[in-house]
Amino acid sequence: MASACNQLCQRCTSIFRSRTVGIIRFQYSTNAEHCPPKLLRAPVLPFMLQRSQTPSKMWTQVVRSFSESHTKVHSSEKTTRDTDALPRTHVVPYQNPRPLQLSHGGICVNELQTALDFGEAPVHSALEEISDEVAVGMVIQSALPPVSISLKDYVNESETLRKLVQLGVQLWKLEQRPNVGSMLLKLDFQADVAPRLVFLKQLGVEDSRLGHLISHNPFILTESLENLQARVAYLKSKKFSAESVASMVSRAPYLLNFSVKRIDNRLGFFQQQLGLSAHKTRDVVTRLPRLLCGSLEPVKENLKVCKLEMGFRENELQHIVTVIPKVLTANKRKLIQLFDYVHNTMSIPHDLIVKFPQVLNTKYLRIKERHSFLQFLGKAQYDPAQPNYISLEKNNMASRAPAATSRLLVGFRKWYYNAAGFNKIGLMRDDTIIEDSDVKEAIRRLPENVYNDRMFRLKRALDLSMKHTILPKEQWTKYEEDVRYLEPYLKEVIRERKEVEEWSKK
Amino acid sequence: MTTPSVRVFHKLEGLFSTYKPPGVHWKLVRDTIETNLLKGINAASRPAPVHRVQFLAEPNNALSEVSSELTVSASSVPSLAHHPLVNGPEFQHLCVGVGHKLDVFSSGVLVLGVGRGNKALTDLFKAGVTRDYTLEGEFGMATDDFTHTGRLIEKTTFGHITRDKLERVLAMMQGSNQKALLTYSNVDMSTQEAYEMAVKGELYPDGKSPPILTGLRLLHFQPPYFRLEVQCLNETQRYLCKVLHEVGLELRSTAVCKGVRRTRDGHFTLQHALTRQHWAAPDIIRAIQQHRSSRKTRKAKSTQLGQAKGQANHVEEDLISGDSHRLHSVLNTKAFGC
Repeated sequence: MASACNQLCQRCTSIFRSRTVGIIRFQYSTNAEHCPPKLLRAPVLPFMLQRSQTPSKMWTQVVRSFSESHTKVHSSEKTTRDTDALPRTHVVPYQNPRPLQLSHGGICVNELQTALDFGEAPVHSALEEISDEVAVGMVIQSALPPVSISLKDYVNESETLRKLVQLGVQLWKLEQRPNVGSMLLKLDFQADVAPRLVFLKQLGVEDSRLGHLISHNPFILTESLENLQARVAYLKSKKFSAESVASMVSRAPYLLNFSVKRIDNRLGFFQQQLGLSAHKTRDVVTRLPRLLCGSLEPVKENLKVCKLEMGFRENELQHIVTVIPKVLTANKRKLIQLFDYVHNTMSIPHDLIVKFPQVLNTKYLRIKERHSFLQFLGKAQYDPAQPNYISLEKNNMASRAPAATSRLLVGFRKWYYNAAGFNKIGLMRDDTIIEDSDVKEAIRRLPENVYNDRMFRLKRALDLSMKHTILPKEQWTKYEEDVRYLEPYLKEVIRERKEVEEWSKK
Repeated sequence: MTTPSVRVFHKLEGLFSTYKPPGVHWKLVRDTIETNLLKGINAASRPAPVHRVQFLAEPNNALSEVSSELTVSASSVPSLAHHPLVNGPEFQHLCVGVGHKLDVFSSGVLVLGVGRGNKALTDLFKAGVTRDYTLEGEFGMATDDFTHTGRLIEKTTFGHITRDKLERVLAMMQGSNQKALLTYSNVDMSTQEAYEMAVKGELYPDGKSPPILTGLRLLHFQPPYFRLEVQCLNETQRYLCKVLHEVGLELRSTAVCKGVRRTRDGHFTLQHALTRQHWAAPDIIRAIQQHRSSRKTRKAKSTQLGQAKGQANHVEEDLISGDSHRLHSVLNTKAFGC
């Protein structure tokens, strides 16, 4: 105990400490006994005083987060500062900071009162022993590092951070951004965060999106409420419905951080450049709200690319943008690559692309794969005027199977299958292949279970044909269940035989 | 402490091969796979939340009794410092290494290593492994970068080219490359050792060497199109395109490359290469396990062979030295198979 007090004595020589190493920063000040009591009791100060319940009642510690009010108050005190590291091993009679409460003067009332009758308390020596009861009464909090690179250290102590985690805000992403960590720590939940959350909620943003919104744009918590209201009012005055405003805000987190003037400028730009009606502009912006947030340069470039390089006409471009607004923000290089493939390789004319603008929204590799596969099948026919036309829309759908054979053909095959009759004695198609040397070799290569099944079917069939009967109808092999189990092996055997023949010819 | 994520990561350490599509940079393949693997690893269940002990004052006592007898109770609260939203995902980076690279134009087997697999990757490529390619060519054109997409420089006729002539040129090229291999292998050619190595096909360039084609074969010939199969060492895809160009020049014509496709890299073949749809953690884990098991069997085989060879050598030596006693025992062990 004594050693702890000794350390404290040393410590009180340094009155203010500030360290400005990491991104998240606190400032401590340790006011020693010799600070003039009248100053401490001055009406300005009480909100920032926090007093430990130490027996000696001599250490009053003022902890403030680094804010302007702090420097204002202490400029009168003319205290010296040093930047020594504070030994933090023994902190018994030393109350730790609660930066959150302090930053906005939210100290509990009873603590404030104890702080105020500071002057009347008897002066204690640092070496004085304390009684057990008082020792029990002391509140010792876990040590908070004054500087840290991570919000991890503060999340247990800070109410704001705790509530944000409960909302689903990804603090680990936020702390990597410069100054965001200390900004969040300075916020008071009741005073700063809650009103904005209520505002967003009233706007119609869903609860599940709040976390996403704040993880992307934490600065909305520092934006003034009047500004936010003014921006929403502006959007509503432009006849955006309440639902669309809510969806825009939740999908484009930065939307409400931009001034009314800037939003107006953007809306005007899209309406003029594309020559759209007000209704259509609203539709486009509602579907892709990030158009209002991002830079206009890429959009201008994309428009030029579409007009000059791709050669779309004004009205065609309008149609494409109203259907697929994403064309405006897509990567220029990728857009050109895709168009080049669709127009030059697949030879699809402009009017067809305008008819199915979804083509411009797909991935290059996906289109390429699909086209080469259709070409391999000999079915790459995209002209609607000709038979076997494959629509571009269907092209984009995730139909990985080739264009299905017509239903009529399948029906005929089924009929033929049943008419052949081998299914009635429980055989499969591959059981009926005549056993020449190739087939024999293929059968030899079958996996054992498949081979056994085949043998069973053959034996059953022999038995049935001797008895001149057929199986009951539910045991017939169905067309759908028939597997060409032998085919791959047979193909391989034939291929090998041909290779051998080719070899021996030389 | 091993968490489920760490366990998944350990399963992932090793080598596997992917199929790189043409027109995509290898870095993109690597990055896609890294993000997919991170997703897979971090999707594993998290360990139970860590609790911390907090002393909470009991306010009801404070009201009734004297404040000095304030009691404090210990309670354990889940610690938010270990919450996934605060801590972030367990794995944020992954060491994914790439074997012999493929340029944007070419496609085929691309070997990747994860974690400790990276070391195996360097070992693998230090040991002399050959790679197989199929090259698609077209006669009648020459471009500045030897591929069909480049700027056209020259047009030529190709009617005079026959399969026979083409094969003769290929054989000549293979021969000259064979000779280059002998010079770069740094072995004295007039020794028995060199002869034995050459017979077994174990000759390999010592240190750095220019690209060497160890095998050239014509797969398909239908003028102006043709397809070659190439085995090579220390090559780049650009060099292979150039080979086609040279073939064209040898035949008094010109040729461009329409496609380079790697079909084998060391013992990784096309058969096991993962295509774009399978670049996810479960498939990659399966591929890595398969590679591990195949390597084990290969090792076992090679050690068996080595032992058998060793014994045979001993027998010969013993015969020469006349150590009959030892010979007897060796032959006995062979005969009884113990």
